[in-house]
Amino acid sequence: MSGPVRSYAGAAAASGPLITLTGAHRAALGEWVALTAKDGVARRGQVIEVAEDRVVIQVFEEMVGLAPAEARVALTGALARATVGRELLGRVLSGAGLPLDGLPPPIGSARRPVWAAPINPVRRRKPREVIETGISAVDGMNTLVRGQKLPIFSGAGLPGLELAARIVSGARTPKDEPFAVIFVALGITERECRRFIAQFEGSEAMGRSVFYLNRTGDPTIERLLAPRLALSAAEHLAFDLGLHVLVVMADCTNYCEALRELGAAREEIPGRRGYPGYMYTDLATIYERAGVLRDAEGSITQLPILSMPDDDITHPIPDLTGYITEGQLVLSRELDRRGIFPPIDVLPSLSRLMGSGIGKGTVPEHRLWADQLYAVYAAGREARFTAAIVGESGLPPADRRALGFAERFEQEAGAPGVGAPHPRGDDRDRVAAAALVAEGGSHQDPGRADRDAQARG
Amino acid sequence: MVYVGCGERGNEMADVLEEFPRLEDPRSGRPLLDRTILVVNTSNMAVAAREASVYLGLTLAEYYRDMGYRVALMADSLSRWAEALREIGSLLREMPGEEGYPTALGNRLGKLFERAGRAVPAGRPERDGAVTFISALSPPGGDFSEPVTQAALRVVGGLWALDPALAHQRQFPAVDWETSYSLQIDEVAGWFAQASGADWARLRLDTLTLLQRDRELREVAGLVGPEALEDADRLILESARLVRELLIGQSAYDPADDRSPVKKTAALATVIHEFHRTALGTIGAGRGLATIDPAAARRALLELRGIAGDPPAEALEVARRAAIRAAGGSR
Repeated sequence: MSGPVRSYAGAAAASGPLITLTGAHRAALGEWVALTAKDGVARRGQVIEVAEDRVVIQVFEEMVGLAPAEARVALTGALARATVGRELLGRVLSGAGLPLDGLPPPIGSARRPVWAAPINPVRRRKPREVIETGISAVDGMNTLVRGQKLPIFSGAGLPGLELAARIVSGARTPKDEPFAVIFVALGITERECRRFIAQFEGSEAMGRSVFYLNRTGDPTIERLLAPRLALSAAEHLAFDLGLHVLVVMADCTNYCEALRELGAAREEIPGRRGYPGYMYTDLATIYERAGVLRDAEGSITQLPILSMPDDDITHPIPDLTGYITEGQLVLSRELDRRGIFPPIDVLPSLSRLMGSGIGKGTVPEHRLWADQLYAVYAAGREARFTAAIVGESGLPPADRRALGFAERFEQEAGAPGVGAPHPRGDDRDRVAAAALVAEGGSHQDPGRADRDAQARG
Repeated sequence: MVYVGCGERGNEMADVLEEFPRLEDPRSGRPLLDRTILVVNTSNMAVAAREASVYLGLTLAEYYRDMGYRVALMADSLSRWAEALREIGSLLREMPGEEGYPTALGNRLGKLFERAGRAVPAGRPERDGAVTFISALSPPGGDFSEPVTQAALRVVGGLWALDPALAHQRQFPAVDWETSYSLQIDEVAGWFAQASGADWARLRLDTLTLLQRDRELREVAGLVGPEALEDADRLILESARLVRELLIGQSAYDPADDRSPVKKTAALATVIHEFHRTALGTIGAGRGLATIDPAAARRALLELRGIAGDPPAEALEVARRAAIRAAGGSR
């Protein structure tokens, strides 16, 4: 849409992140709003409700200090747009897209709507190129594929962001094209932000990254805007310029809380745990902006990180996220306590697109090996329960072997230890090594693993 | 066939759209897509479209049913459809019912399912068509007590319950035999008996009994260790393992095993139960579990399972003999 700018002196009311305007003409849902307070401070907002006599605007910046009666409210006649372009690479921006790095605002090559239309499924291409991350629990058991959205289900104090950083720095594709990285901080602390960015600073990776930072102290409602700005920029890089883009978003739980805050301010009827009933659809409009197209070169791969409140995977946030995303990597507090990095619990973890990537993209036996590792590890975990009651010596020999395997699997097949150099052995070596551990180390007869797996069906 | 992707992932729909044209129709040899309609709704589309997608699929299916076709309608997933009802209800500021779903949820769901069935349409020529409605439900956290699952279970004619624990053990398809059921067993028993040429009802009952005992015994074994069980009980664990891994466990990646014809399923079950009965006799005769060789029975079953299509009678006989020998039988 585009129309004339209408300016009004004074709003009727303000409450939480909302202001109400009366007597406004022809306001449109989603219309972008510029607010200027009496002291000259500029704020930005968006129309979220239009009634006969009033218009409700959600404001992205902090509202404290705003006197609605003395503010100037301009309905811009346009929808929210994001500046996109190659020159964004290397920039550090706020969650509203304003520069934080002391440089002038990016001019960009285009301005794109922030609320993108859903991609027509017929225009999509099935994602099938494997991304090698260098982390065995991912590459071997939960393979990441270009165009996938694979969230990391973390918890308070668990290294979700560190894992994402490791994946980003180790990500490699068959043709070795580098990734552009877009990082969206959603209400995470300054310290977490710094740690994540630190590994890019000074390296060439900085030059192909864009950072949208909304930290804990930044305006809450801006968190609803930041991922969409970032994804509009990512879509331009991927589908117009042909780059492969990795989008890391942390922490999506904070996004959902911002959504809940807005819902409460609008006096909506709350859904589960107070989150709005439309949270599923809202999250889908973010996560579904990943993929590969038939008629474009690039791709968007999303790695959202969310912390499960109280490590509860059935909490509405991880629950609804799991219905939209193509699997999840679940971090385990127990593994983390034992000093294992990354503490990925492979049993509840899943990559739904693994099947289309592995085999041709990795090794022909990949599925067979992964299934076998999975089955023996699950048996070992079950045996650990039994052993806690009857003692390890009371286990039948097969369970004892499975238990021994589970211990070794957690220690060795996970990933290199923290700070260890990133080994670049290919998938074949890593998965094969783990499969041999599962077999009790019969290095002389690699064919045996296959035959046993077949026997197991 | 009508396939409704309701609130689906875009990438999965892309997969379906790429795979369906490649799938071959076993009857005509042409692409399966030639007799398939795909209704594609991704989760980020408008919420009202998500609600409408299932009704659209049903109406399309009924149109073909009235032409005398047997229509299979797949809806994946009705939980997303129910979520759409919930979202719309909340936007309309309706008073929410259980877990925020509209109070009419059970009613709406019942009316949806009741549109499936066989029908004789009015008019000439005389014809009868059918709509078979296969829908997916995804209960949050696998909790079947949630409202959508409960409302659906009140009206459906059967349930295939997928169990994450089975998937963890790589038992595929991960259909849990204890929670799953069909209300149509009696109606189709005759057909299965005829198609399999075996006492299907008996095989089914024996298999279910064995699996039931197996689960009880495994719970006990989990506490005291399997070594502490009696020989007859340990035999049940062995036989049930054959059932789980070779009869109801199938590999979708194995061309000979991805589809098991009724005759083959019956043959596999016959061999396993023959093994089990003979082995029980062996133990009863005072010879211990050590004289029984489940691995040999497994090899015989694998041989039988590796045959694509209906197994010839000789193959069944060979497997039967091998199983009896493995069970310490005299023949």
